Amino acid sequence: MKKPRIKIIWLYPKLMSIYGDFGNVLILKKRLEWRGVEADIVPIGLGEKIPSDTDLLFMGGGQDRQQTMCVDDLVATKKDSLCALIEENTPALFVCGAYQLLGEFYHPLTEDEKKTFDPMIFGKNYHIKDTKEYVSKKGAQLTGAGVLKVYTVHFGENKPRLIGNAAAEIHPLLLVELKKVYNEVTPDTIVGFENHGGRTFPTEGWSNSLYPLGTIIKGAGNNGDDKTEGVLYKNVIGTYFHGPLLAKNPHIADFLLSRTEKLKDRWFTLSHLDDIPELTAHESALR
Amino acid sequence: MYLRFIFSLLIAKILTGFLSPRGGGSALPGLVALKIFPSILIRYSNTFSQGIILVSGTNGKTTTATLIKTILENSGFICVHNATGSNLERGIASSLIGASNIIGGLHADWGVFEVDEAALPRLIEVFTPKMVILLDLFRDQLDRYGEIDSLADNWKASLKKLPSTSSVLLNADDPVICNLGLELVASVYYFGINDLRLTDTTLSQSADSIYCPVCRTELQYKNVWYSHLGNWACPKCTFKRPELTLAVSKIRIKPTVALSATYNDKTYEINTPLEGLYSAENVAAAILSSVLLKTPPDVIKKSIARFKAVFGRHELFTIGDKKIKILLSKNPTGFTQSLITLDGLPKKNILFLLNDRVADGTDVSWIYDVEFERLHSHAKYMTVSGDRCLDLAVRLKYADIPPDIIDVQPLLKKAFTSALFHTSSNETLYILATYTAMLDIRKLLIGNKLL
Repeated sequence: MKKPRIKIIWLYPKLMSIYGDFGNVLILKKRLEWRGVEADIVPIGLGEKIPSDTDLLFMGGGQDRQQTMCVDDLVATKKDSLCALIEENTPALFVCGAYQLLGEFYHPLTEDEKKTFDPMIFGKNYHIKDTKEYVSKKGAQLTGAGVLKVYTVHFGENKPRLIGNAAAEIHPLLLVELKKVYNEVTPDTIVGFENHGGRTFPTEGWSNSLYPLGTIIKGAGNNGDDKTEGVLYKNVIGTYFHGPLLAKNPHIADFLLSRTEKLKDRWFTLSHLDDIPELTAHESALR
Repeated sequence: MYLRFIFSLLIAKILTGFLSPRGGGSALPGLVALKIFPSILIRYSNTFSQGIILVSGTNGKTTTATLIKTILENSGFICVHNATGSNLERGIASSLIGASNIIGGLHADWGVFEVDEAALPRLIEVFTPKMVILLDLFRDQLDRYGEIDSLADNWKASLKKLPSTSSVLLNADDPVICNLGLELVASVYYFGINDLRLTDTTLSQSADSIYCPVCRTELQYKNVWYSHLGNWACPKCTFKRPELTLAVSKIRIKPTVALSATYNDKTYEINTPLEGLYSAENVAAAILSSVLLKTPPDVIKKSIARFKAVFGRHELFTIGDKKIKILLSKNPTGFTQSLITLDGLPKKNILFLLNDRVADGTDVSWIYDVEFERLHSHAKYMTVSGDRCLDLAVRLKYADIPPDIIDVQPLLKKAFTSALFHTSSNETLYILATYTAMLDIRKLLIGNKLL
């Protein structure tokens, strides 16, 4: 049987590649190659359309200025195809800035909003107004792609950036899947490094179809308050963990690969990889 | 106030005397003095007969500042310099206190200081320096410095306050650095590379600043020297690399860098003991500052030719019949440049040291932007150590480097012994280390008298 070729789309590699993000696509590609499956990394930048034969999507974090540059393009030229792919269960990984931009909006809170901010209510009632009105020191408010029903706010100087090594216990629903596609003794944690000023919350609350990737055991996670980290929706992972994420979390890499349309039915025929260096580093990061 | 100043000096002097026999501790006296007398640096801002020169940038500041200091000293000036690379306020305060007498008197012509990127705006304001030299901005320690753009914004705000009697020397090859030269009261001069034989036109994956700092359009490069440094122009607005006040050309890279430097139709042939293309930028900066200060050409040429590598920057040690070379490699661009320096050498023995302490940056994800893939065809044996050696082992695995030539040794002493053991007689062991790891291995080499 002819082996498939996997097309990995890397969104905005020139704009959104700040935290060793290249590592995530490299790791996906290598883990396919080591199993005898060929993979192409296709960079998609400003103005370019996402191909319809995309197997897997990745987008990383960027500097504030770059993030502002790509958000308009994301909404104008990519949002619809992105939504279509994701609704068809295409696996995707969005890290840090990408996680924020794939949500519904990014908003620097005004002084009045800071006083009354309630994460359960704010997202539901908030409507994007004239952007010019809301430009603050921490950047303009941005309308996200809305693929993930989460939103991000920024408290300006009132709350510090969340920076440091971090770890989270994987959500039980995801863990069940990992046990199937990785192995029975999959790590039940994810580890990484976070560096973000924005605080992310679910717009309509968590549910069984939109749930946090895990519960924070070290670091801050989504917002530093509710102990949640990241999001899982269909086969999309949004997360603040870089490091890059997949380096020390091979189980997450395999989860994404196993969800590709071309591999999902033959995943178990592919060889299992020796992940000793990755898992040793994972173990050590939990300490 | 005066008494408080004298008191802070006295305490710092006592501390220096107490610390110096044991080596290190170079920042502590300054730190204590700043605590007792916070405005101590302002006291020194007018004590130099000629003035103060500040050098900053992500990569190359130690080498460049030391080059300038050496050239000035060889011209007969007395200089105060933060030689140990201690480049925050406290380190500079320490060197000033060390050079002055107990009542704060200082008999020196120039203060030549390398300055930490984040500390630069404050020091520009405190000192109003005669000259500021800015080398480059690469992604480095995002957890500490924040993003390149915000760092550059802060620099610009402070540079704008400099009077017309100050000079700002900028690396024209770096678009973000270039942008700092617009709208300044101070005189602006540009240095850079003009070598059309370096014909690379593609930017590497890890290049940082490839968008126009004025209008944000993707920049076009006629030539790329390395990372995002090159001959660039914005295709949309008029912003492009400016005319170079001093250009270096005819660059020979191996075995060590030699180049021609052109200033006002005069050309100087310069031989250096330095390695790597990036050294050409540092040398260009040093030559430009020297010619602006009217240094005789033969002094510049001789000073650079006889320059000795400083503190972990291509520093050479010998143990028996084996050589050890330390290459400080602390960010994606610097690390990749170190690997390029090793490119043509046969049979490489390498010891990688990756730490994640505050001075290194606590986030090590940048190792994925280092081109370790360069190693697969010709590395002989590599040892991996440091606080984050396990992360590096994973990175090397994904660079497809065979696991049987990688030895992961968390303990530094063990790692060094093993790496040296695997280095044959008359071969060189190359140590690529992050900042604190470089300090550790130097301490091991010097302190424990392994030499």
